Amino acid sequence: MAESAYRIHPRVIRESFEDEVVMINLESGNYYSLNGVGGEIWGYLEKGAAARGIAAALAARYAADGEQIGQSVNDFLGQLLQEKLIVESEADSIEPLPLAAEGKLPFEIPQMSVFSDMQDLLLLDPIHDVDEAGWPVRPADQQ
Amino acid sequence: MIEPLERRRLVEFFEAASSRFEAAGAKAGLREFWFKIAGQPVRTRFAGEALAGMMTPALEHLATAPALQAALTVSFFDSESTTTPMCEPPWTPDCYGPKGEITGYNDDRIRTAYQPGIDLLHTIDRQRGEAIYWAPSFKLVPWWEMSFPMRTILHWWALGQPVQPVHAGAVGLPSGGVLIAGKSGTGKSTSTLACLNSELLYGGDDYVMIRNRPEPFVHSLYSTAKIEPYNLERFPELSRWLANPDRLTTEKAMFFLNRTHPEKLTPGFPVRAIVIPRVTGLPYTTLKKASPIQALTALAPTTIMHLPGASDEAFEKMREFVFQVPCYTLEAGTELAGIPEAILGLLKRGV
Repeated sequence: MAESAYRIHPRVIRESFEDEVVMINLESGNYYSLNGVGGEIWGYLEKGAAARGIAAALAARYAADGEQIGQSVNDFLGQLLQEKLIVESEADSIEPLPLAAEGKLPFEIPQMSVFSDMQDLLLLDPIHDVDEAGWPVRPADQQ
Repeated sequence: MIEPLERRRLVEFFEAASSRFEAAGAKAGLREFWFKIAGQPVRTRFAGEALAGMMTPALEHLATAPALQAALTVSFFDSESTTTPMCEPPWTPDCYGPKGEITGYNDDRIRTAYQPGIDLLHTIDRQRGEAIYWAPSFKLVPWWEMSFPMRTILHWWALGQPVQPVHAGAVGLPSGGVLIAGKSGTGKSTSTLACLNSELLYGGDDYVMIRNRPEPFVHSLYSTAKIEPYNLERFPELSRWLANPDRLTTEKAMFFLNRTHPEKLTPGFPVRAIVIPRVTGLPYTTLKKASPIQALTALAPTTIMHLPGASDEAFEKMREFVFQVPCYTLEAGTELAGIPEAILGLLKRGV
């Protein structure tokens, strides 16, 4: 039986170009960029791949032992899940074809840059009180 | 046409808010100003004087004669100066979402936002092309609203059109220019203001309207420029034009360039490139090729987090835009004259 695939979290918008990806989590306000191996893994995820298939595709392309690649992929998927960029899907995964390479490339641990500087814009001011008509009013020290 | 029950509730609120504006206008007097925004006639109506004096200066460079029909009419009032209360909000306090979106009061036709703590109501009926901008008191309107009036309403108005307000600056020649993309603090304003002493025209330093079709284009929205007060020393010739010299401990330094440099303002130009400023601390300015994803990263998160609702459509428009033009990192030098030189060099060599 095939491993379950992942799907992109419904509150995430993203775009990719070559091996670069930008993602915005509309719920948290965080945004992310991936490139290199991280961007490549994202591309496999978008096609419906799961951990083992991704690791196999990377092992065919990069010069590193399978265990190291497998661990890196699992760690990376864990980060994507934790940041709510992907969710587990009920669909069966596909076995991705490795990207072409002339000879084996040096393997770099997949990295994700996280930017959380937009969160302040999403923070809600607590509603302290409402006026007679029902509109929120600011605390006296903020008026 | 019979409206679905759910929508009727939204339309009823919009109509109630409109009738409060009419009542405010009857009491305090009505003033009307027309602006050409993204090439279309927009009518603004003000009940009383208070908000008109705050909201129109940033748009003065786009003033136009009244048209037979407005593409959008925005009606502004505040309750304090017009002594006219707003209708009661039909929603409960738990309906205020992030960025002020009111849960249950946003659909394809009606959009509504009110951010507690900022205390501004924006609502639009897209079908009628009418919007309401209300504040409990003009005294509580945040200073930054004067620098980008109607930003939220223009975002909703852009839905379904190939235009989008974006958090970016723009400078260029009538034949073409650059969009300057980057979140706050990356050097957008410094880069655009550095161009005032060159042949480059000014399209904006904070919010501009991009257009995807028939060619990538940028429309100026606001004639304001804002910089951190500590940065004023880099622009000594501008200091005498400060719009808010007595409030620099709590506000950014703000200028209305239509009053100080009217010859430098432009309604817009075709976009030949996107530049992403980066402050290096080095004296010289250089340009380095960047990817469309870098431009999208500079442009989209900050824009989407400012503007309530319709994030997917806004993102899609920005995505389309960044893939249409080349992108560069502008490694902005401390010698300000190098910034317009680098941009002009880029434009004159055809990018």
